[in-house]
Amino acid sequence: MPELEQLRRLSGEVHPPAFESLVKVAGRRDRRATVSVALASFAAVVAVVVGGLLAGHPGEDRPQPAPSVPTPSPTKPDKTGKPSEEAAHVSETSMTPQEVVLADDATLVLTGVSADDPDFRVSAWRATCHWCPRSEVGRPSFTALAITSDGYARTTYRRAPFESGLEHVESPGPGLLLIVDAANGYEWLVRDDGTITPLARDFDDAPAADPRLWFVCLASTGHTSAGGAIPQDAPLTWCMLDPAADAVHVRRGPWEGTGMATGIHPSVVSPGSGDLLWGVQDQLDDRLVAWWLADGTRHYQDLGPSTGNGAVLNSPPGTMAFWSWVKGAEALSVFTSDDRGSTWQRTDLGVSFRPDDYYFALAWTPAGDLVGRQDDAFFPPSSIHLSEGIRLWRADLVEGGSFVLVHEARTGNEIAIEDPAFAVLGDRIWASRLWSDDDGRTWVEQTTWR
Amino acid sequence: MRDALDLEELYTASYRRLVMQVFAICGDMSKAEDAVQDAFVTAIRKRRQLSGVTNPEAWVRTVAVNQVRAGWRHAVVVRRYGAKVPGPQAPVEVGPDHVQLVAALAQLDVDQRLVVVLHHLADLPVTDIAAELGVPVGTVKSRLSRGRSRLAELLDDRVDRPIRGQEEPRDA
Repeated sequence: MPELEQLRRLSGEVHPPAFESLVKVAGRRDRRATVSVALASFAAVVAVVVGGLLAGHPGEDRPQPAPSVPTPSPTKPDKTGKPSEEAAHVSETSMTPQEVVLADDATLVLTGVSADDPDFRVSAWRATCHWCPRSEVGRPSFTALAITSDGYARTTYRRAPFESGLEHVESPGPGLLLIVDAANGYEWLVRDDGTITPLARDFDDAPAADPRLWFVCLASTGHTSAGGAIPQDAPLTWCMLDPAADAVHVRRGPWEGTGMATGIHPSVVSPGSGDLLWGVQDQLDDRLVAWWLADGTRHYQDLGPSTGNGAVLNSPPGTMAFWSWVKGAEALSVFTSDDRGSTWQRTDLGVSFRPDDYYFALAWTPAGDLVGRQDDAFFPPSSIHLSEGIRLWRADLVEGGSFVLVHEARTGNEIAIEDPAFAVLGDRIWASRLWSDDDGRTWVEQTTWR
Repeated sequence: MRDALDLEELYTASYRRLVMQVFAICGDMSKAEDAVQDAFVTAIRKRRQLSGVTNPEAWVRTVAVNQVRAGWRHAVVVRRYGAKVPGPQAPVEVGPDHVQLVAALAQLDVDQRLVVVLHHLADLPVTDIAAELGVPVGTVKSRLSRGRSRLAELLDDRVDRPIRGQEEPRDA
């Protein structure tokens, strides 16, 4: 149709941005997926992230919440009932944190629970202010935190100090929850007294006795109070939480990834373990390549063709383990080496789904079997970046075995791919807001978040 | 960086026409640019899988069209990407004719609009459209026929109708 030709001619006026700028965006989105895998190998972490907040403003200082200890409020008993529409609002142009959390149409955007005490939880909720004046882009929305140490019998409501939407929560020790924005290099410490503390960052080496204090982070301090933009190309590395100093020590060296140029993902093993460093090298040509550090040198092993692959998380000290799947195959291969890469064992396990680099993670259970998490089973039709639920699979590591679906969770709340996939503390396995106490055979979902 | 180089070539060669195709479908130039940029970001992240795709441009178009078709149902999703695409680099001068044309396209059923754009703007034969949309060839032909007829009516309505017998022949 000749009429459509005028649109073709119009295309000459379109100015594409530099390709490199899109590569950087892809790299930053990849960081989230990488973090979700790397963090989960840290075998004492609990974290759940289920949604998104507003995009961040990298160069800006974040709001600094007051360090005073807040007083928790009794949680409204009728949490499902609609809030009183007649109730006077504190402000006609804003919402209090409590109003945000208890709003009927509030969206759960982030949750985290302490591995030491499941009654200690934090959640973030986002709600639109229906009584606020409408602006050009509609009515404003707000994000607030609900913190509890007694399973939400009482709640401390706080305004959220973060806004990138890329945060996740870790459980670094009793009485502490750590909110991490690994894509932008920010951390906040939530204590069970309801306080939220923004953490300073430095490159100081500090010895850590507790491996739970380590987490994967952005190797940058450029955004701190000294000012400056976040380095777009900063790699991921390992950081150590120093709760006494309200600080994070960024560790450089062989643990860190090298970015998209060489595709080296950060070490699966943290500096706190003192163990062999190993990880995955992202390949452009459909191969699985393992790397490990021995005698100060990075060694590589090509483990063959691979459409999807990754490290097997929660591997015992001294064991390297990878999973790999080739498009169209009916089996997923697990490669393990217990002798620093001298020999490799391969076990093929049947799969009835398609394991993807970004959306599938595999971990050892406490008893030595395998549990898999599939995040792309319930993608909304409009997005290939989000999951509206997860599927959990389990397999014994025996030749000829296969993955069996053990749980399917679809609660309507979106689950972000930056969730640490699995975390194991003692005999309990966590996968986002689900946990298992029987080696991954049955799962229970934590549903109370306000 | 062989694949990255190929992707850059694909980007350079196809970005403008993909934006225009998506614009014809969604009627919003900045949304079209965002969607195409986001589709290329996805392509970069999925470059390994994309390297095995027969027609990478169709793959990128499908991702972009899927996003605008959903009307950014998950606006929050776009925000929560965190790392946002650069967006339009300069305003595109959209004239009254373009507005009328896109407005007419917008009145088509979205499935008809898709096949009309893919056939007449992306120059795809019906067999390729069928493969890209995952529908039978007959369905594509049917949608194309009805979409063209409807669009012709809509476009005729915007100008004085020509004298009978002097219409320009339309391709069937």
